[in-house]
Amino acid sequence: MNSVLKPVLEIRDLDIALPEGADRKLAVGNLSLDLYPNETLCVVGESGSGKSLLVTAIMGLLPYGTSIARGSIRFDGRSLERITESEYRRIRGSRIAMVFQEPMSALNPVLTVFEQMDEVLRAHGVNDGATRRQRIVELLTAMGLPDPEVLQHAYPFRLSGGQRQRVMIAMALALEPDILIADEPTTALDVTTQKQILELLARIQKEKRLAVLFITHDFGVVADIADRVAVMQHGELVESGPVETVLNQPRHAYTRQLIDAVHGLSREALPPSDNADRPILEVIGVEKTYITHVGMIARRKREVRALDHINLTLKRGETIGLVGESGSGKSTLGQVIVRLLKEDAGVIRFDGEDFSAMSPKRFAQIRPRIQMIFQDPTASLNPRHKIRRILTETQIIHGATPGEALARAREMLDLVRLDHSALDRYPHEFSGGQKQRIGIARALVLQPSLVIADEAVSALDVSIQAQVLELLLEIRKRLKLSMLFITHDLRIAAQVCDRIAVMRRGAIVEFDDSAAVMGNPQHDYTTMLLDSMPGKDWFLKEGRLS
Amino acid sequence: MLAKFIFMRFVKALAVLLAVTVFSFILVRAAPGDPATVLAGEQGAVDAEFLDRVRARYGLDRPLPEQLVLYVSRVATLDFGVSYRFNRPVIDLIAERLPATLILTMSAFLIALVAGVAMGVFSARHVGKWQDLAITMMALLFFALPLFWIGLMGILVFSVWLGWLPAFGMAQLGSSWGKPGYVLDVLHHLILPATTLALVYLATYARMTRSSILEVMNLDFVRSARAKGLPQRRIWTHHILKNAILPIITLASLQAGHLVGGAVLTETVFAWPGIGRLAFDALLQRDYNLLLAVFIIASALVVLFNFIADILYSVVDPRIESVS
Amino acid sequence: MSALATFSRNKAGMAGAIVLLLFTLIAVFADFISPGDPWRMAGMPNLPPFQGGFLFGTDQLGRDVAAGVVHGARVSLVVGLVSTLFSIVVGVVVGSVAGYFSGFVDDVLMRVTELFQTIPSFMLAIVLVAIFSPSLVSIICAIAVVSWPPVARLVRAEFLSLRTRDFVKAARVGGHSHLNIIFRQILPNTLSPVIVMASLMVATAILLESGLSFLGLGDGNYMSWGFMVGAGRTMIRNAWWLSTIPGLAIFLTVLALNLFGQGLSDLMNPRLARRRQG
Repeated sequence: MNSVLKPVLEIRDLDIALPEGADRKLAVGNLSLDLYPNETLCVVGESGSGKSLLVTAIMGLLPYGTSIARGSIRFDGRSLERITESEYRRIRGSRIAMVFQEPMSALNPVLTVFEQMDEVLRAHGVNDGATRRQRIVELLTAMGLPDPEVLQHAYPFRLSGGQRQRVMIAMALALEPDILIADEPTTALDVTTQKQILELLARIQKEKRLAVLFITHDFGVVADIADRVAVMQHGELVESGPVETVLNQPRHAYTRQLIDAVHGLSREALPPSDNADRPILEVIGVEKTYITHVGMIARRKREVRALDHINLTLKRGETIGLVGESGSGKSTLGQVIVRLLKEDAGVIRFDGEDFSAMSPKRFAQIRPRIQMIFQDPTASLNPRHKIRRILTETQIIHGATPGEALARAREMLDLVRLDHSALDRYPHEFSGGQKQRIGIARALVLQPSLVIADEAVSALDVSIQAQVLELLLEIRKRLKLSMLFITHDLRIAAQVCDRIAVMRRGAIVEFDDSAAVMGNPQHDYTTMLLDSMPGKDWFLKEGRLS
Repeated sequence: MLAKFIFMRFVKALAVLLAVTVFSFILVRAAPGDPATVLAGEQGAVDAEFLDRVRARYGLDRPLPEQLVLYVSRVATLDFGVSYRFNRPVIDLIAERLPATLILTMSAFLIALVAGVAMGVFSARHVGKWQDLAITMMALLFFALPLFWIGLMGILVFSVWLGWLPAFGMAQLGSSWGKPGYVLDVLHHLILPATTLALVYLATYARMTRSSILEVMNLDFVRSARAKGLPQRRIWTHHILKNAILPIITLASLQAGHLVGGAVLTETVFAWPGIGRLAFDALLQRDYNLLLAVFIIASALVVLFNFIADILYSVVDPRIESVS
Repeated sequence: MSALATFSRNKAGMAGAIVLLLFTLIAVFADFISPGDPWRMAGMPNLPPFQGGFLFGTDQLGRDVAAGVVHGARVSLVVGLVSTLFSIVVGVVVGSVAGYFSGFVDDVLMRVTELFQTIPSFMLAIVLVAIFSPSLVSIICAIAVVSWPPVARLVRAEFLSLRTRDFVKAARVGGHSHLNIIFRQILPNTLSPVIVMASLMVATAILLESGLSFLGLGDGNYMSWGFMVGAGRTMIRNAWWLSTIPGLAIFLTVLALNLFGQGLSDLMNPRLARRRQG
């Protein structure tokens, strides 16, 4: 249907050069792409694919040092790379508008919502104040924001992430642009908010017959909103086509890898855990309330109930997924169990022993048996220590001789499939996925019986995620580990966990076998989480989700 | 909300003043020798009667807590006693000199702030070019200048060699408030000392403004502003500068103390009749009672300045009420 | 080795380092370069530079200005280094304890730090030296007392951000002691900004010392640059060199330290340096 239309944006043979000394010469190489009116084109790629530089090039906002080395970007009969800055300024925000990834930082903190919207209208020639005021309230109302008359005078810090993103979209649509560019607009949001924003964008696209260029790394999102897909890898276009074709018959191996990352690994039956055995972890009636003080002298107390009467039993050799959105208390629970935080009330028994009844000496003996794998692979390794020290120091504290410690460190490197030469290198010399392997090795080198994995793969690119998850599954089987797997992503939890506990506002709302939670959710919130999973419909249809 | 914030800051300012007073009390008690002789200055140089008066005044024969209460209550009522050397109430001496110091420090502050921020903005707008390099170099040079020395050099060049500007004092002999030409006369005398005092802070503000702007320029919301197609001018005034100025306000209030301290050196060099010069005279005469009083009043000035800066900040930054 | 090579390519930083080295050599070998007491009468009074065999002339008491400048380097550098060392130690201890434990301890320590930052620092130094009578020790202590708060704030800020990093959590989960975490895990990561700050603090300390000596609060046993500027002050109309030359020595030393510090900062934070250059 698109072949009869003229594209609104034509990109031909585009090369974007990186500054000298970068790891490659071109951020984007030899790229040609068309965007048609009334369609959503998803550009998919992982970090380093050049997708973000591509859109900054379209906006004429390439960062210092990078430049268009070859090719053209044609819009409305003009070559954008040749027009003057003042001509470009008139296009930006009015004919081509953009929504960014981080709603938290994309709005100016010292101007109100009204001021920030008003300036767009004024900059593009809407000179009548009354018209502007009316238009702003209209736009905010159309975005489904509550009480626009009041909200427009709020500063951004008063708004939630989802509300800020709605404001950004309202601002982008203020002048009815021909093209809307959205650069990972939902990546920083919770899944339920993500779903609302995606629906909003889809609705607006249809209403206004907009051309939307949507950047994402998630094929789930692609399945939900795209008409056409373009996949980028290392700055090059590896595949493009209508969404059905790409999803159903991906031609390029990299595309397949990205699609597979959504539905994940084929899950084999896990060894049955021994019910007769004493559970490794019992959490009984645990409570935790954060009290934050506001003000200097006359302090106001603000209480946040992070854990509300939590009960959980983890059998030996079992993996439980702790799933929830930000603020659900899942990370707090993980930290209470590894004793980084102390509970206010309740009992936690590890291998039958109550933590609060333990002497400091006994606790020191137990310590190495509960370990943790962290979210951010970069922050979790001390940048000043070589891998040798990272993997052996803690063992030596717990009484291993340097020789023993080193031998075990080597064993663990084998287990996570890293070369022994890693020992004499610093963390910054490794990639994200490798660093996460080292983080796993550090946790396992103490021979723990319980491992808490806190969002262990969410900072990684999707294709790396799959590899690390596979590694975790394999290790778990070999070492008969018990694991508490904390994640915001139901899809991932379903792949690795025997049972899933769904958390919301500090409470566990549903706790059952993974298959039951995914297939027959009992609680409304679980249903909502499942419904919010991007790409759910397509992947369910394909039978790729249980 | 804002009223509460201001009240809170006011309480904090009072607490700081109390702490400064207690601190100076401890200082006198911790000094080697009899506190009475410390307060009266050099041992043996004062008569016994004066020492007795000092002892009675500060209740030095009574227990320590009582002494502290006495001391704090005296300071709270601005009663600093009588200066032995000047033979006048200390508070009168200070009150007489305070306007001169305020004129000097405020002019220096304004020069430093206006010129410094302007230089910083100019530098950031030409980042990497020769203008930027020149301003950066200039800031580096100013920053290394000993205040008292550059003051003397100013006198040498502009008074001794060129004869353009007066070297000493606040006004010509015989000139006084109300006489024709007095204000111009004071301004003429003010140029050298105020510029001298301003130089170091000017360098600091220029550097800070420049780095603050460069930092804000890289933030996401500036990119948003560009993507909205706003004119350059609007991006600079409402998005970059409005945010970049915030750390400058904090810095300016932190540096108020340095400015008052710097006034001691400047007023000494230029014989400017302010409380800094008074502190120097007290030093020469070893009149430590007077010195401590100047110290407490100078601290009070700084606290007042910080208080004003806090209020200003809360007006500029909408987030303040939730942060504090 | 490579760090040294990188630094040597920073022209301003190298210039600073060379001037510093020069002044350090002068300070160390002062007794060889200019033997004898710098306070003694060496020739005719008030000789301008280059006259009577005196490079920088003589003062009103016939003392050799050049000898004073050479010996004054000692006081400036010693006071600058030792007082900075003290304030770094105090600042690091206060900042790391406040930042690591946070909560109540942090509140108390930060209020104290704020208090010291509010009090006009030079004024406080004057009061301290005057009341405890001027000597090298009281000068060093007074400068340290007024200089530690920025260090404490810097270290605290670094600790607050590093404390929540996952590698610190990993160390806690691994059973490391608080002391071990503070000193072996976190502190080494705060070192580069502290070192940069230290080099700039030496400069500030030298300025403070010279200001004190200028006001007559120097140690009477040692010749210092600030004292020389102060003593020549009243002679500015007749003998300009008495104040000008020692002041120039202070200026050069402080400038060199600032350049050196800037160079260090660029070296330790190359990303920022590149941005600084645009």
